[in-house]
Amino acid sequence: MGLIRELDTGTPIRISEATVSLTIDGQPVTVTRGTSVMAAAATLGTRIPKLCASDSLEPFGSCRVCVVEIEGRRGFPASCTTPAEAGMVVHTQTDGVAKRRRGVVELYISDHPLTCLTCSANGDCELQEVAGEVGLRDVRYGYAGENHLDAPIDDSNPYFTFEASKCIACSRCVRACAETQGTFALTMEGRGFASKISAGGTDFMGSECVSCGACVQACPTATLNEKSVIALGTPEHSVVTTCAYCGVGCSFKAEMKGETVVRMVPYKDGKANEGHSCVKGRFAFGYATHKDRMTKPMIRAKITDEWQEVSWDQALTHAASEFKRIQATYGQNSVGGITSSRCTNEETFLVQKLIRGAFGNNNVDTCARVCHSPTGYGLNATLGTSAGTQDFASVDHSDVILIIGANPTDGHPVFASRMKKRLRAGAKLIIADPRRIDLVRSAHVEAQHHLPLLPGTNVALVNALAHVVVTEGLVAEEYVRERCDMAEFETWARFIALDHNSPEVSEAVTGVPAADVRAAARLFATGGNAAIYYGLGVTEHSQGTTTVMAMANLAMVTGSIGKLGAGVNPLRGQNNVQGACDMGSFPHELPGYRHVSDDATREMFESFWGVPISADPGLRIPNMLDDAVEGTFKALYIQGEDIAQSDPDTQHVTAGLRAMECVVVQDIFLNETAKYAHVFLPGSSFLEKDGTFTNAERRINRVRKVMSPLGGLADWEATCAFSNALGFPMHYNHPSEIMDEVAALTPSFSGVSYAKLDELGSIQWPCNEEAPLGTPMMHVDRFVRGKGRFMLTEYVATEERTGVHYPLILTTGRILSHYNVGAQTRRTENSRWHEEDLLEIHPFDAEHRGVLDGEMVAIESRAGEIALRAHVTDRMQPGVVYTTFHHAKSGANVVTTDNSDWATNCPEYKVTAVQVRRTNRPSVWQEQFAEEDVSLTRIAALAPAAE
Amino acid sequence: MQPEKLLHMANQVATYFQSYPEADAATGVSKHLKAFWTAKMCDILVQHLSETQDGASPIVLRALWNGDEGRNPIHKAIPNPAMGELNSDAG
Repeated sequence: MGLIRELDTGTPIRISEATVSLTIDGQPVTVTRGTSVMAAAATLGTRIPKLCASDSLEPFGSCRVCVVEIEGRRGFPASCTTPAEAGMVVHTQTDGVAKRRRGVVELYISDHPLTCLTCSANGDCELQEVAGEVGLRDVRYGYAGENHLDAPIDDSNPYFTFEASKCIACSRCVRACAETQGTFALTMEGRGFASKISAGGTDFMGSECVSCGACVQACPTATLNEKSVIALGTPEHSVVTTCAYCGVGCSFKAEMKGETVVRMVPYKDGKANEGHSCVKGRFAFGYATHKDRMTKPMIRAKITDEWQEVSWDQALTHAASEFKRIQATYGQNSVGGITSSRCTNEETFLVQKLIRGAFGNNNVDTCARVCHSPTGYGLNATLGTSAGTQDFASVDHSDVILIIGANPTDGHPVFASRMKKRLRAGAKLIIADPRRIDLVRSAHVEAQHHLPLLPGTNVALVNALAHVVVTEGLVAEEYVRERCDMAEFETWARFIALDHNSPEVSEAVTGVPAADVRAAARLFATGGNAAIYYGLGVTEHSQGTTTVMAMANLAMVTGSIGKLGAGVNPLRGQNNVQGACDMGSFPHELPGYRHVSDDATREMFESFWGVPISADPGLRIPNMLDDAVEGTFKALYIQGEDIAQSDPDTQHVTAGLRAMECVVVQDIFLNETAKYAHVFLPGSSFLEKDGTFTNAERRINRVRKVMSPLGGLADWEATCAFSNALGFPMHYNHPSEIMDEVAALTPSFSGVSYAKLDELGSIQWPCNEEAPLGTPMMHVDRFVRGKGRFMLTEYVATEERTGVHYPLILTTGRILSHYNVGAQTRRTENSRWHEEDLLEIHPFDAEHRGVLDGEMVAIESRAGEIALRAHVTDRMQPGVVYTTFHHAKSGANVVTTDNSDWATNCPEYKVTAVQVRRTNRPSVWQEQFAEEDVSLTRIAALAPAAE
Repeated sequence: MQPEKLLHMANQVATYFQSYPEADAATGVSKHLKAFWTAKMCDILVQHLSETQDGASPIVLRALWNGDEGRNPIHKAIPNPAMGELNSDAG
């Protein structure tokens, strides 16, 4: 086991059907048209020395190290900027080439510190390698001349340093920031000898840099280097695994020294990220070994007691006996569990198996309840399956992109970079969002239409877009006739053409000028390949499911499903939310989305597991909490979720948890929910276990163990042990055996195995006999349900109304540097970018209330009250305020209500009527939180060991 | 669970389906409750509405008492479990 060194062809291999054949150093080679001589040589295994070139970037031709000789041409052209041509005869090593390369490198070295032995990149430096390759032995010019050796070090960024003295001005960092990340935070300042890399005239921390790491990855020297490498030295082996943050599912090389992670490097062969990363996946892994990690099982009789550390056996025996007692006392349905979208498919599968097999009911739910459950219902009703339709690469072919209720640059940054690249290439952008998100206008990206609708009016807006398509004759008639149910279409077309769905009438509801809606609709329908990308700004509404259906209608009526560059694409929140749903985490369905009432499916599982399975749907999370408050639901097993922070109406959630007699929390930290727990099982981070995650593209990626579980057991092992203690035996030697069971029981996974994942790298389900290599795009020739179905989508206003007492609408979201409840990212340096949740408020609303930027304000809703500092910004529209929920002490969900989606009970996080006023103190809830943060988390001191 | 809350939830479902002919809408509500509610939740609601129908949508009442007379607006076309298609509301 050593370091994985990926091939760098220097410049990208071009995609083309045309090829050219040439000869390099006497060897014939054929490459696609447009590919450079340097890359052509690389395909032969011939490495041409280079400094400014990298195959993740466009050719630049500045360093002049890669010169070659080409027969029939004068001079020494740079191989990186010279396209391969038919019949070309190239020599990569001649006396003339060697002399010129050596001369160029000599100039570089004449102004470079000769501190290789103590340099952090020693052994991992391209300049060092190239100096060796060209045979540089001395520098004729000496080192006494004018130089940059005293240039200052910028170590303002918490994760990497910028040592200007080691910079060779190759511009790879500048180009990575522009081409790969699309932020344009870096530039080359000055001319000639004064040229230097600049983060916009300030330090990195104060610049627009988003710390994606692309510049660090691109740097050929130690100029940009990870602080972890500086501290620990270079790594000695790598393991390819999958990021445990958002639903993009980036592949990384965990570069290791023994069991210590030195750095996480984005993996070029990762199909979701193709070598790119964001600040979370690239750098924010330190939480895995944070001092707050809980590594011992603990129990306590009451939540006000101190925790007692016990053995795994004691903890699991206690939990099992409590669950048995409770079921004997209150009935079989008085217990349940919650699976985790942060855990692996295999672990999630086992938790739902435990609940169905050992608890004997279907009381299993997952955090998708509070995020994308409307996606499943809405897409299933219209298209026939709940999954997103495309792979990420599809966006490269989009001509028009409609983003609704998503903020990809913050929530799904790696995919956002890919999208921005397409936008810079000319694709048009429509954004429907109450806030002016960064994509509305940022470097080299500007939306053609920003539709700043009022929160809660998505259905009215999407209906209005469809109204324009239908009434202005923009329907993709042939597509609809061939692919969709015509009777349903005609019913829908009559409905959508009604006046009340017109942009002019709905303007009064949405607040979006009718002319803008008409222009956006025309662009979407006539602009070429049109894709819809959406997030929780769609789903987390009382009409979340209706909006998903409305978007599917819009995509079908414009012929925008089943081809590259199109589709209805949910951007999933958590890393394995797709997988958690696939694995049967919902209370009404078994793995593979098969309803529990289906006799044939149930019999298959019963036969495999050797237990009867209930045909009655179980309780959803809000149902469990309601029943707990009423006293009929008494015990809950929660793996890797923190409902006391993430779920709406916090005081109702904690009331439910307090009313239970046994709450088992399995987590890597003593999270907010653990304050109400009676048994704590130490969880394992993604670095400590084997398994798979499934991303938003339905892509199943391997998660590989790089260190031993700090608590002694991986999460899947703990679930097995709990099940065994409950008398429902589970025995697996490795998670691959769990996946084999999933494949045996789930038609859409029947072709999936660890062996195939290792062979292919990743697989997009369905993967079975019909699609042995997986399915990158759904609904290609026909919809999964047969004919696409148009659903009627009448706009119904939310019951959450503003008025005299609560005149503003609060909407919530996330920011780039933090993830979900922040349990992981708050325990990293990412907190430097976001130390607390803020309330964004428009200057008009702030002035009206006498609120100045930075002042403390109280936010009061019908559910509760909190206090946050205000951030006055015209990013918001008047009447709408915004905050994040990354810090537990903020209590953002204290003010959100229990309103929910009609179909799935997904909470209406995005619409809460509030009042905002100045204050100088925390709210009552926040004061209680501070007190309970101590009183409910005490751990008893260990008794001294006996002599 | 409180019957008032269950009634509110059922009314919400009915509000969505009310764009369809009433028999179809009632069938849609009926199928929805059977697919996603526990038997106990359905029983509590039926018991409550047996005592008082105040605040209940006519579609909910028809769904609970006359069941599946119409055509479910979300009926299945071609069930295809190999493609992950059945009664999912997955996220």
